[in-house]
Amino acid sequence: MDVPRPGSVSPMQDLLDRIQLASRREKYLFLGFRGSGKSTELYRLEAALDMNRFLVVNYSIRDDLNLSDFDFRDFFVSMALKVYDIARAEGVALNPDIEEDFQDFTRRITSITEEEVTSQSSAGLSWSQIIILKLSREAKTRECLRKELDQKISDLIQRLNWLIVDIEDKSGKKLVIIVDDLDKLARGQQSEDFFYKNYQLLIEPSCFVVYTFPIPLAFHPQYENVRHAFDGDVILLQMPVKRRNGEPHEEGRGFYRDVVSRRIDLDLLEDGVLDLAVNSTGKLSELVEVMKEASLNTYRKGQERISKEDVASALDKLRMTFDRTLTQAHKRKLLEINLCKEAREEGPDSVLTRELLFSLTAVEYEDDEGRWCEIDPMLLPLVEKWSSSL
Amino acid sequence: MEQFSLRDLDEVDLLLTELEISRGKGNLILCTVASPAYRDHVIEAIARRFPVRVMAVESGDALISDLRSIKPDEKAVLIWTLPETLSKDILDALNNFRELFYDNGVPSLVLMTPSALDEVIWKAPDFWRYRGGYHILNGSERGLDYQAVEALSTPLDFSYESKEELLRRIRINEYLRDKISDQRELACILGELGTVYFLLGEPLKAIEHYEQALKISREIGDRGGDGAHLGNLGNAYAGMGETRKAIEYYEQALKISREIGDRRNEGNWLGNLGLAYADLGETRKAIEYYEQALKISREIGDRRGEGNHLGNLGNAYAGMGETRKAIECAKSALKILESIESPHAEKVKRKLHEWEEASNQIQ
Repeated sequence: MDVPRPGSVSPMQDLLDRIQLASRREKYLFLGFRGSGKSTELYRLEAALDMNRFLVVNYSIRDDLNLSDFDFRDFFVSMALKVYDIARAEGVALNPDIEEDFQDFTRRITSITEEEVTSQSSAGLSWSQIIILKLSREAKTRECLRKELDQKISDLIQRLNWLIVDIEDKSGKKLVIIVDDLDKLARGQQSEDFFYKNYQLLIEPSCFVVYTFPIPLAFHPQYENVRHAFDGDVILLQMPVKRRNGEPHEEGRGFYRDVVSRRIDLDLLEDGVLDLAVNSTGKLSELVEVMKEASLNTYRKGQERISKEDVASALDKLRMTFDRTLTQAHKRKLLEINLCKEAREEGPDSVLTRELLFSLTAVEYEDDEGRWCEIDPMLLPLVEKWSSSL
Repeated sequence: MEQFSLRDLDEVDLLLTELEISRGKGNLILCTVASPAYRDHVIEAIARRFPVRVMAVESGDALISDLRSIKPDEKAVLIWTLPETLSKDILDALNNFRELFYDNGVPSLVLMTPSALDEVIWKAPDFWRYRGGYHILNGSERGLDYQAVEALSTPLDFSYESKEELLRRIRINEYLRDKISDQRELACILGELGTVYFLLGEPLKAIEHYEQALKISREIGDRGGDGAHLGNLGNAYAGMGETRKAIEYYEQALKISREIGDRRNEGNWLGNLGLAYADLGETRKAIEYYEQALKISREIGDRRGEGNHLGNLGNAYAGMGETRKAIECAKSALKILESIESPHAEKVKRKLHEWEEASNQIQ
């Protein structure tokens, strides 16, 4: 059901080639707007990697960690537990000293007793799953772990690397860790802290790692410093529905139409409905949202086919919401982006652009003519209104 | 557990047992300790088991007076700490008034450095023969904070809780050594093996591994690795009591850390040079190094280093009789060490108390 992305080299292919050809364990940043299809691309990457050569640990931090109370120490513990788990899943018998040491260390930093583990293992959870569960649910466990690891994070990284070396040696495969949803960190400050204060730790694991990276952070002045610590930053941009000069982008529109046509029976749509939805959104997540809302409108009215009015009503609702929540300063910045097709912060203290990119009210695009920024196509009808009122 | 050299654990146990069975009775137990800092660890361990009174011996007359006037609690242990260099009047007092150690009805533990023991054996032979017990604690610590572990290139540090854990760490590193092809990682593994052997009280094995690690880091041009391995070689030689040789290695390591701009290790080696010169009795020179190390730890925001260097400065000033300065340093050190929950805080607190009492008595 995958829709191939038009363009010379897809980000997935780019990552695949890099990993297959790399002579050492590289670390990559994978950038993309929320809802641009990063997870799908990462699943495609996992599927494309040769199973005889690579062992893939692909996981989402949303599954295991508490995103509203996220910390780099929790992150590395969960990574180590995921790696430990893959050994079990792949039937790799770890060196007994390494395994025992890892278990002792984890128990020590989490203060989880053997009795607690035993009492919960009856639910069919493995040792590592129980630890992860407690980590995500219990503030007490997180607090204990953070205090313990405060001066000992290198202790943990070293143990993670011991596991990696042993697993790679015994399986004869290279380990590839894919960490999804890091761009979903709840607060901007949280992701800034995670990536910019700890980037030296992120390159420590001795295996391939792909980190999803929040694209708004790439507009932070510090990004240039951090980017070079990694072996590559691969960007999954939104497919545009309009060119930089405002002309229709037929390739992009075709891509979005293909995505919808694989999910919805096109006979349920009246003429022009799909084009209206595609051209007014220009983002997968928003397109899907609008189509869902429109179909709900249709259902309520007792109609059999989705009409343009249903889509327009869904679009209006979203548009009004944005109009209400955007500040005057945001609107002024959006007008500037619409005019210049560029998104730059005024200075290191300014966060306006990043906030707009994070909320997807401004989007970065790329086509054969290069990169540019534009405001969300859905907001274009508001440009005239804002221009006259600001 | 981390405060003791592992090779001393059995000896410490033995000492505690002897004190236990001597409680409420007079006894004279002699014990050599490698350094003043290590002596503090020993005192702390004893104080956790028994009520103690620590008496610093400063002159022969004062010792005799204390021995005659002291009225210890019957469950207490008296701990007498001898200075590093024993004056003739102290040696005479020990030799001629040895029986007083038995008269007060509680065990007396006399702590001294190995070189002080040499003097006791030759110059206070009756006191030496009068002993009820004798223990040797080799130690590995040379000061308030012995930084061998921290100075490792990778990992920067590791923690351990038992000898078994260190032995397991050796097995793991030896297992991984055969699987690693990357020379830089191999050097790290050898360096860590060196440090674990050092902690296990096997400095010769430590030196062997550090030298292998240094050879590799030199071959691959890893200056950071060179510096760390040289500094650790310094630590190992210092541990063997070869302080002059240790200083040579620290100086090489210091030079490299300055060349590559590694401020943290620069501070570490300066601090360790201070400890080495303090060991040699060159306290003025030690103070110069501590002050340089302190300046760096403040510049880079290394609170732990700052607290430890201040504590060492306090020790040095106290050793020179500059109690007021020692108290100032210890107060600043204590504030920092308590704020970071350092295990050294307790030790500094006790020292501070001791110096404040001494200062009050003078006034």
